[in-house]
Order: sequence, then C-alpha cells, then structure tokens
Amino acid sequence: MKRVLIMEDNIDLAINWKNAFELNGCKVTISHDGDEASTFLEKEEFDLVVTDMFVPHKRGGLHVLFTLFKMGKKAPPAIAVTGERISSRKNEDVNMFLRQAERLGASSHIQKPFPPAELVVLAQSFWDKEDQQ
Amino acid sequence: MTQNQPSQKTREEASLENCDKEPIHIPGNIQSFAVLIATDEKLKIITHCSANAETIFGQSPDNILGQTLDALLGREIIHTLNNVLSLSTARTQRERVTTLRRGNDSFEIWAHIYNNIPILEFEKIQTEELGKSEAMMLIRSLLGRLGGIDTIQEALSDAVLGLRALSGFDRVLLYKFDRNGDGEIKAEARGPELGSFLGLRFPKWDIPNQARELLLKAPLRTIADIHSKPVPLLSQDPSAPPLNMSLAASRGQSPIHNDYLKNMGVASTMTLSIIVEGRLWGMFAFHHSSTRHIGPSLRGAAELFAQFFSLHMEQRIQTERNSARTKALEHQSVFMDATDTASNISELVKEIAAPFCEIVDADGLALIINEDVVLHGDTPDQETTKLIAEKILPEMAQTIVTTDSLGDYGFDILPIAGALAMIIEQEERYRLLFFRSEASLSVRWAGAPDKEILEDEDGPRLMPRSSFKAYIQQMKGKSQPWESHSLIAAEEIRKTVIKADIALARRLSHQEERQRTIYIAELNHRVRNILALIRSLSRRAKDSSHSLESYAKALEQRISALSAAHDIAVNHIAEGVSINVIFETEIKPYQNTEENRLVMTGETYVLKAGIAPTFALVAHELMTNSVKYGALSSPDGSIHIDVKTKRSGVAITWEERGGPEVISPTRRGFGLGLIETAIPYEMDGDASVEFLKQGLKVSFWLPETFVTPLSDVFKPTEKYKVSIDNQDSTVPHYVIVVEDSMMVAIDMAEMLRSLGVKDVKTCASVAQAKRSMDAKLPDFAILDVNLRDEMSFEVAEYLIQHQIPFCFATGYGSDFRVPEGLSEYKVLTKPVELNTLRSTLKSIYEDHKT
Repeated sequence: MKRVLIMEDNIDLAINWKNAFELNGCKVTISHDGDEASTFLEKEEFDLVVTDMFVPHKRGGLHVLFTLFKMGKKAPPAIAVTGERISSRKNEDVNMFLRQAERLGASSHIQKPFPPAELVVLAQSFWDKEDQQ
Repeated sequence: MTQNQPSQKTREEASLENCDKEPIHIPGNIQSFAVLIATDEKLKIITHCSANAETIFGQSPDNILGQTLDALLGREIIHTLNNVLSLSTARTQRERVTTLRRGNDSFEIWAHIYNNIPILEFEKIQTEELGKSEAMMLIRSLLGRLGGIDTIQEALSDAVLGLRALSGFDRVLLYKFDRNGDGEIKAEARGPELGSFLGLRFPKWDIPNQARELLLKAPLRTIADIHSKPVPLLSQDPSAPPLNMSLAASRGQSPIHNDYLKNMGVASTMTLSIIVEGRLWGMFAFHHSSTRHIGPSLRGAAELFAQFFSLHMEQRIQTERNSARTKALEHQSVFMDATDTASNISELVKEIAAPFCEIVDADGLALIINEDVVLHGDTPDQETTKLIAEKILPEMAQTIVTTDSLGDYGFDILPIAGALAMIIEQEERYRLLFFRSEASLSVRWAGAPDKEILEDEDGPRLMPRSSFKAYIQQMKGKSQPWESHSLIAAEEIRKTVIKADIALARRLSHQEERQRTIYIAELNHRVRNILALIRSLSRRAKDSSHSLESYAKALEQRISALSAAHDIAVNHIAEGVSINVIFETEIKPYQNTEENRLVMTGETYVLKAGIAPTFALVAHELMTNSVKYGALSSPDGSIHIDVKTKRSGVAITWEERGGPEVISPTRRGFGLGLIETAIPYEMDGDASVEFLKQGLKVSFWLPETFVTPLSDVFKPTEKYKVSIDNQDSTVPHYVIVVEDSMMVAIDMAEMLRSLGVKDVKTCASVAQAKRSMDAKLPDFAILDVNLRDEMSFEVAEYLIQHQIPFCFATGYGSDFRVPEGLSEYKVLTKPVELNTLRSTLKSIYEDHKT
C-alpha cells in the first residue's frame, strides 16, 4: 500500500485528493502547513508527497521540498501544486519559485484546478518508473 | 432496546460507583483562561468570584464579593445582560453577552443561568490563527461535503479532518459509543506529534456516568492546560453550597481526568458531543501535545459544526433504519399471504423463518407459545430455549432484549453464543428468539482493559490507565453484537407477527362463521326437502290405501322408516351409515328378538350419510312388501342379503326365501317403483327386480362414490317414465324437471301433469338434463338450484341460449339469491304448492309466448 503525504491548507481540496488516492488503495496523511508536513517526513515514511506551494501566514511547499532535499536519495517523489499559471509573464515570481522547487527536488508540478484523478495518474507514473528501475 | 446484563456487584463495580460519585460539576475552582462571577438570583449582588478576577477588574476578590454587578460592569452591560438572560436558551446553554474593554484588552462576556443562579464568564479575546470568516467558510465547506457523502464512515473521516484544520489541534478523534458505553475510535486526523488511536476501543469506565451527563448538558468542554494551576472560586458565604458549574466553559478540571490525559501524552483537550436523538452517540476529542486554547469564536464555529453533524448523523441513522425496516417489510406481504392458508402462528413462522433469520443476521430462530417451542436453524434444544427466554427476557418486557454472551447467564451451549429475545404476546406467552453462533472476535483496547484499583478512605477507586498501547483481546464465547439494523428488523418482525396473528385469528373466526351459515342453510334445505318428501309419501299412501286406518298405518310406517333412517344418518353423520345397520333397523318391527329372519353375508360397506335416507326408504319398501306379500308374510320365511365388491362399487342382492309362491304383479305400485328407480336415480346405481317363483330377488349396484371415497366412476341412470294425465293447451307440452331428489321430482312431475303438461322429463343432474335437451328441447323447465354436488346454472345458461322459459326451485328458502345475470328468473320455494306452480308456469310461459 503506497503512503501519500498531502500538504494542503484548503481542507476541501485535501479531502478530494485524499479520496482519489484512497480509491486507488493508498494510505493518506493530511497536513496543513509546511512545518507539520516536514515533521511527518522526519518521523514517518512516505512513497509520495503532494504539496501546495503557498500557505498563507505559514511555511508552505518550499519548506517541505527543502526537507525532502535534505533527505537526499531517501526522499520520495514530490508533486508541487500551484494555484497560478506558470507561463504567465506577470507571475515571474511564481516561475522563479517553481524553478526553485524543481531544484529542490519536486518531481513534477501541477496547476489548480485539476481533477484529483490526474494527481493519481501522475503519482502512478512515478511509481511505475521506480518499479522499472 | 436494552442490553440486559446479569447483576453481580464486584469490587470493580464499587470502584466504578465511586468514580461516578466524583463531584466534577462542583469542583470549587475554574481554569485560568477565564474569570467567573456569579450573583444572587436577582442579578444584583455578586456572591461568587474567581480568585483571578483582579486581572480584569483591578479589584481584589474580597472587594468584588458583595458588590453589586451594576457597580462592577456598568449599566449598559447590565442592560444587555438582562436581555440575554431573558432568552429561553440561557438556562440550557451559554449565551454571548458583549465585549468588555479594559485598557488595551478586550474580553468576551458569556452568561447563563443554572439552578436560578446567573453565572458570567469573561474570556480574553486573542488573535486566532484562523479568522472568524475563514472559520465560517471552512464550516460551510465541510457541511456542504456532508450532503454528497455516501457512507457514515466517510462522513466521520471528513469531519475529523475538517475539525483539525479548523482547530489546529494535533489530533482529532471520533469516538463512537456502543450500547455498552464503550467507545471506539472510528475516525482520526492527526499531526506528527501524537500517535494513532484509530480503531482502538476505550472501556466505558473511561468516561464515568456523571461526565456523560455533563457531555449531554454542555456539548463543548475544553481543558486548556492540564498543567495550569486551578483558580479557586471564592464565595461571599463560605457555608453556602458549592456553585454548580455544569454549563460553565471554565469549570475546573478533575484531577483524575488530568492524570488520564497526562498518561495519554496530552496537554490540552477539547471535546464536542455528538448527540443523536437525545443520546450521547459519539464525541469529537481534540488533543494537543502542548498547551493549546482556542478562543470562543473558533469554539463556537466548532460547536456549530458538531450540532449540524449531529443532525446529519440522526438523518443518516434514520435512513439506515428505514432501509432495515423496508427490508423487513418486504417479507411482510409474504408472511401475511401465508395467513390465508395457515391454521396457526407456529405454522406461519416456520414458513418464513429463513428470511426472518436472514434480515436479523441470525443463525436460528425459536418461537415459544406457552409450552410449545418451534425451532428453525441453529438453536439450543427446546427446554434450553425456554430457560433462556425465562432468564434473559424480563416479565412484561416492552423492549427487545439482546445478549452477545449467553455464557454470562450460565448457558454453556456453544457454538450458540448470542440471543435476541422479545415478547410477541403477553397473555398467550408468545416469545420470539433469534440466536447467533460464536464469532471469532478480537478487540483492540487502548491499553490493557484490566482496571487499576486504588483503595483510599472513600473505598476502592479506579486509577487512570498508565498505558494506551494497543492491547488485543481475543473474545471467547461471544457472538457478533446485535447492531441497530438487526434490532429494527426484529422490531418490524414483531409487529408483523402480531399483525399476522390477529389476521389469522380473524380469518379462522370468519371461517367458523361462514361454516355456521352453510350449516344453517343446509339444515333449512334438508328440512324443506324432508317436508316435500313427507308430502309425497302422504299422497302415495293415500293412493294405495282404501281406508283411513290403512292410510294412517302406511303413512306412519313410511314416516317411521324415514325417521329411523334419518336418525341413523344424523347419529353416524361423521363416519357414514352401514348397509347392514339399515336393514337391521328396518326388520326390527317385523321379527321377535329371538328370531333371525335376516341373513346378511359378504362384506360390510358404509353408505355416505347423505344418501342413507333414500337407501333406508328402499329397504323399508322391500321390507314392507315382504311383510305384505313375500317371505316375511310366512312364519318360516327369511331374507338373505349379500354385499360384495363389483365394478368399482358395491353389489347388493336381496333374496326372499321360504315365502309363498311369487306371482308377478299386474300393476306397479309406489313401493316397487321406488325400489326400481331410487338407487339408479339418486345414486347413479342399478336396480333390477326379478319375481322368481321361490321368492323375490332384487339386485342393486351402488357406485363406489357412495360407499367409498369419491371416484370418477359414472354410470348412466335409468330414465324415469311417467304416465300422461290431463292436458291443457295453454300450458307447455313438454317440461323438464331438473331435481336431484327423486321424490320431489316425481311429485313435481305429477303436479305438472295435473296442470295439463303432456310430457314431463325428470333429470337428476346437469349431465342428464343436457343429454335430454340435446335429444329434444323442452317448452319449459324447472331447475332445482342445488343438485347433489353441482349447481344447475349451467342448465339455465343452456336454456337461455335456446330461448326456453324456465324457473328455479330451491329448498334454501326465500333468502336464496341466484347469481347476477340470472336474477330476473323466478325462484319457487320448495315444497312447491300446486297453485303457486300453476300461476308461475302460466305467467312465465304466457309472457314468453307473447
């Protein structure tokens, strides 16, 4: 059973993603900010991290990705979720942020809104690659 | 519904009782996050205040106690306070009053009245991590999700996730209480700081009874910091009883509960009760590993969610119940249909036992009615079943009683382990029991379930558990517990069985009534036919008699024979009448007791009671003829009767011996006519008379239908010929009389001839009538309604098709109703008077002709 850690402060979205993963036989843990997710990563083992990048008033996705970066090879794949269009010129900050995220180890990124099943397909592609290796 | 348990007072129970006595509603202190003030009933003088009151009011508690509330808070707040405390809800829950500003700080004032005492709590407003509007958005989103969720489990999981997001607590658990009071963690949302309790079971004594009562009264309870020092509550009158703080949010915590939380690794907690149908269904428990206190706004949002969630659960549970009820009702119609044929409730229950067990999830079923026990499936034996019912089912029990461990009642009958019992009907001692077999069960307790008991001056007391590590206990001798859907289905089954029992009783009573009506009608019919028979006998006796004396004698003998035969028929109605008995009865008047002039050989046959009178009349005629002209007229003469099986029936031979030489008669009288025609006519049998010189020989053959159980044997009857008397051109020439009683038919034929009918044909059955009509259509017909085993309506339809006028004749009296469609046809009531017959015949026939 694959273990998935979701870091998302919007509980409605978090539950939707959780349900999608659970439907595919995964065990899901939800955390609401970067600090909590990082502590989870330090204490428990996961096969995938799905992290929102921006959490108001709290440390968010970058903190999670940094924790994963520190874990080195032991780190599970991560999917960074952003609420804004990556290609928009107006969002240079966002692009910079995501580039940073990729440098830190985000295996992929996905932009809201998206159907939860898409998240599972993406996750499965990582796991399939891992299995092949 | 009750879970009935045997009573056995133990040291453990004594310790539980002591726990239940802990006065947690009057702790005499509050938690430090609030300041509490209470006044007299009139809201004037301050009677109680917490020792920390100075932090808000800048005055020592001594100064505050005895002061007017007006002076402390100002008139504006008192005005608002008075309004709030006037609300009807202010006596059952805390109400927000207003914000009190003191320097740079703001405090929320909450108030309520308990036991007529106004209680005010002041709580400093803090900056919450989640703003009020964000909290409400979150609640709205969670409530929106609930509507689209399919299962209760999904709803529980979403709720704990949402409440953790709302509250920021490390762990939010959902306890669901079972009927024993044990709680099981059904859903959990947690951060990394605290371990998982998901799936663990907490024994009922973790939450003592008085704590459960408080959870019902005040659904939200918070303990901000188990390490903080309790703040004493001071009273103006130290001798006054302690202030009841059942509804106060800042009520001081129980030291035992504090230890319990400490052992759990929890520093702060909050609970929200889930109250369904007025009962504590479950509880959200919020745990934090460090100090955490959320302000009144967020607490209010969480409380609001819990209230909605309770309602939602109530609705879902109701839906589940309805579904269980519907499932049970699906079988109701089958069960009720079976009441049409069953003769008692046991028969009914046997028929439907399998589906009943299925919907209750039981392995076996027992129905006890007084001392009788009906069993189905896996059950104890009959005697044990009765003992179980007596032991677990209290006298006059109104509810369904269940147990998942019959061993607790001293029944060592594994694999049968659980029982569900109910009283169906008190007076008749109807009991219905369902049984379940032992299940392979294990319970994951949060810590070993053994109670740690400490003895102190107040007696034994339970110690809070020191470990909450999962402890797996294998359960022996227990069945699966009886879930609510099983109880609901059982309740529906009870209603169905009661309903069926009533329907069955009603049907049986209706059936008796209907049979009574048939008996009365039949009796009426018989009386009328007998009267007609007697009238016919009297006419015949008159024809063959030359004096009044001989007429009276002949009549008396014929009526006596009829009476004797009728007595035989009535007295032996159930088993029928023996042929031998009839002949023996008939000969009695003509032989001395020491004589034996009747010799009977062959087999013994029993006649059906219904034809006995006719056969008795034949025997009577044979006997009287013999007395007058045959063997019995001679002192040495005798009668030899032989009875034997022949051609799917019985052959009876009457032979007279020792009498005078026989001379064939020149004229056939009534007696001989009856002997020759009665049996062929009434019984579809045969009769032949031989006037042999040495004595009369008469041979009969009766089909087995009249002596043995029914068969399809059918023998053509001989036609009865009558002589033509007068004729009248205004009446029909040819009339058919369809009448099963030969005597009545002869009488009717004679009356018709006397009215001028040229030709009369009598038929005993529908088949005979149809054959006769196929050969020659009549001008008129008289139909007896009730022919031996059939009705004459088929003949009526035939006549209508061929436009032949007719009328009915019946022995059932004036109450008789012909079927719809034939109601326009006249009905003559037997015995038919000549004048009535004349007027009826003429009016119908003439109407038809015109």
